[in-house]
Amino acid sequence: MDIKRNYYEDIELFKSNTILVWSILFLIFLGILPWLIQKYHLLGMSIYIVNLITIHAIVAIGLNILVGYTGQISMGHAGFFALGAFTTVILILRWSFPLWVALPIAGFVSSAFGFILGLPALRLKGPYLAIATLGFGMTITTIIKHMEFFGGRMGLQAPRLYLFGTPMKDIHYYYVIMIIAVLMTIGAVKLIKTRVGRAFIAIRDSDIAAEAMGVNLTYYKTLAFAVSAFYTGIAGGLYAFILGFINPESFHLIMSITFLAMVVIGGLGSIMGSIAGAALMTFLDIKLQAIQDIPAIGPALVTFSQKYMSISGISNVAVIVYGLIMILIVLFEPLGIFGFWIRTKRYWKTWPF
Amino acid sequence: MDPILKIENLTISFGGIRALNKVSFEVEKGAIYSIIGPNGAGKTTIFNCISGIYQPSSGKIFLKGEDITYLRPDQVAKKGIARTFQNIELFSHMSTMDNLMLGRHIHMKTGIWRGATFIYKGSKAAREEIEHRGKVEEVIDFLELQAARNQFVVNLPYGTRKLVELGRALALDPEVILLDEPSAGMNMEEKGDLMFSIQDIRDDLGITVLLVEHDMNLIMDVSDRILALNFGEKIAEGLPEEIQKHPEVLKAYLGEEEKVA
Repeated sequence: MDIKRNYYEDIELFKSNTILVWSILFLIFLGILPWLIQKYHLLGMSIYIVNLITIHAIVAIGLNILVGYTGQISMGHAGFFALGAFTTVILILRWSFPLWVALPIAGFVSSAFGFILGLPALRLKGPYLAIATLGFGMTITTIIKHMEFFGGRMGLQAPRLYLFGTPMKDIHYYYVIMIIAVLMTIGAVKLIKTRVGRAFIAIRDSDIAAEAMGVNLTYYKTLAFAVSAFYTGIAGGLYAFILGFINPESFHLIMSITFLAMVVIGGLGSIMGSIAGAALMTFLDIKLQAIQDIPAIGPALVTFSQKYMSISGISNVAVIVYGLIMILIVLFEPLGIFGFWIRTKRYWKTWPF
Repeated sequence: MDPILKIENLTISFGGIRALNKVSFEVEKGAIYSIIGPNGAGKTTIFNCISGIYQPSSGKIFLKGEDITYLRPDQVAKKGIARTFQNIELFSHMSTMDNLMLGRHIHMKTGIWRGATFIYKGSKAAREEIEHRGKVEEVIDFLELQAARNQFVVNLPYGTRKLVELGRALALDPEVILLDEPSAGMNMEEKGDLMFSIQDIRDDLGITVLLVEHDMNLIMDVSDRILALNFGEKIAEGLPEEIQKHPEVLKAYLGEEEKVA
């Protein structure tokens, strides 16, 4: 079962036929997911929520490459997200680029800024780097807000896109986003397994040893920022279209922190964890806005909040529950959802011992 | 024959303290050259200067006649100097295998695009990975690390970690290897094995070894030449037998006999 026959098997994407079969089944599931949602309303999901989750998953993967694998922190990813969104929309709106050209360009614009932000990161660590990147995220949105070119404070309407003459709807965007997300996930998994990914992890674990082994710290640290920003920029471009309207105010500081929370809760240094974290956080964020619909405890919580904490109740208690779930996960499973998955796997492997 | 490594008047100060003062020595190709001295004598500082972590205040370092004094650590590694650290600096959340694969970093070419997009066995990135994996397996066989191959380094015992670090340096295929107290924390048996490994590194792999070590038995057994330091000054250099009897060295280690009034 676990016998390796050649070295390639260690870097293969599908390490066994079981994984291959499951992956194909999962892809089929993703293919029919919109149909399932429309017919059965799985968990009360809409295609919009799934799209949002997928986009957040791309961001989380990008951010995990930086935070989880390279060990650099960023609290300014909403800035890259905004850059991606505005670049895509402007390219299509002003110069009528097709989406498949505008999106990569947005990714590269974003990664260019990532590279620039990566330069001070060479000398900064931990809390200091957090503050520097925080400043970056806030500056980007402020600049965008004050420039007429970007639509100023009013923001921009995302142009309507057409697919073979018919306007694209959520369901069409679903397939576009999902294909991009799957490709980018595979890309990240492969990248981590090869030379560049190893250099990233080496820098995280011991930058002094990595350097003594011939890893150029300047190059790889800025590269990590650029790759991370590329992922986020692409996701930002897609985000503009499912939202339909973008304004600088929506790319705020809390967004950057939520991205970071997705990565930590999903599991630092795990691609699959990032996806799980993005899914959980996005799902909770949206579902908790309607917390009064949760049977039994929902109304009680809302009444409690209305009585003691605020007049409206719902928004207040939703945030509290959201925060509580985050605290509980980090407290009981420091490795996040990924850690939970590993433990479950080990449990079944050794069952019934 | 020209020396492979030549250090000239190496001087470095931290604040007001002169950690090294005009230290010069030459290492012949294929030699096992040891540096000894009491704690704080400046042994590790010499290593840090050679590998580019510290910039010396003055003095020169030549590798095969080429000035490498002011190169960055990664550039020094590319020139063919690998090292280990006194307090193990491994990539603790990587497997032994990946640690050694990182040692191959400078010999590999896969960049970001090729690394993220290879899909089949024959693609360039995969071929390269497999080729270098073969080299790493040689190092694993050489140091008998098979049992640790797929374990995370954090879970390995101290002595094994020391060996993994040595393996990582060997995977780099260096011409000169700097070993900073390789036997610290090892038991007698492991020390014995290590001694043979060091000799094999020189004899079989043809790598010049620079050794900082506190275990005098090991030093005297393996070294071709020894440099003795005290307070950043060179106090003696020569064959092991000469160093053993050298009055300055005895004074540094045992202290001076004082007349009791």
